[in-house]
Amino acid sequence: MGEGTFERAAAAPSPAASERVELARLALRQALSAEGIVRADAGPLGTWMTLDRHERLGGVTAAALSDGRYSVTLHLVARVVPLHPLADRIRAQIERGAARAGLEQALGPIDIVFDDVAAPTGAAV
Amino acid sequence: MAEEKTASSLAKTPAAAAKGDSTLQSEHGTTTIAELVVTKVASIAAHEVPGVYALGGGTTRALGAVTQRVGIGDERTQGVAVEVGEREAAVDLTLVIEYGESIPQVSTRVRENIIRRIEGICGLTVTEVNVTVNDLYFPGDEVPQSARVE
Repeated sequence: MGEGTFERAAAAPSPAASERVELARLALRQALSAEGIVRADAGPLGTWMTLDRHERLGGVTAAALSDGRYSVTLHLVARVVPLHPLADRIRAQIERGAARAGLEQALGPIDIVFDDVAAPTGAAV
Repeated sequence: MAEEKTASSLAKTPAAAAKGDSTLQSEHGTTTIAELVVTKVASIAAHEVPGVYALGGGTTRALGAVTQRVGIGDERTQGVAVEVGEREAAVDLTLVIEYGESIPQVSTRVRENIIRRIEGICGLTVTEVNVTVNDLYFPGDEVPQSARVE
């Protein structure tokens, strides 16, 4: 599954999606729109993926917590830029997006994993 | 960055510790940087220094050329070994330097650039960069010699 597919899936919400899937989609969309992110990474076996009825969101997982919220984990490939500030920007974007979507109460911690870096052209280095 | 450190407790998750990745934990979540990322940053930083021809020993490069040809190798990780801790990283590097360059000067520049890049990009303190220069590159090396007999 290519990067474009992730973006299309992230941009087209399904009306029947659960709160968990909505959060995963929102987090992925916000992460992919952040300057410095090349693509999401579903892992070699597609382990890091959220499944809905009609779509696969590669590079993001969301899991229920005991307090009713969902933790979100993103696996990303970034450009060669300062990574901790980039992670903070992504978290802030996701939190703003969740607030706009009325999902802020459901959003738990956002874990960001940089699995690889890529050259400015997008090619792996 | 300073604010981030005061607001965060630096801790390594068990999974990240097992893989050798660097993790910064805060109340809003964790940021994990894979060891591969630190390796590639070190490699790119070394390649940025004039006088560096290639990374890796002769065998590593020969093997790397084969694995890259079949699509399983990555030139940017050969010749670099990193050890990543919670806040610190150590780098071992094998270099091929262009003939005529000052080996001490190139090694110093490589060391400085790797420290600058890893600290800037990954937020890790680099404790040591060990450089091994194992070969020299001569500009005519890659030109195939014509056959002595026809």
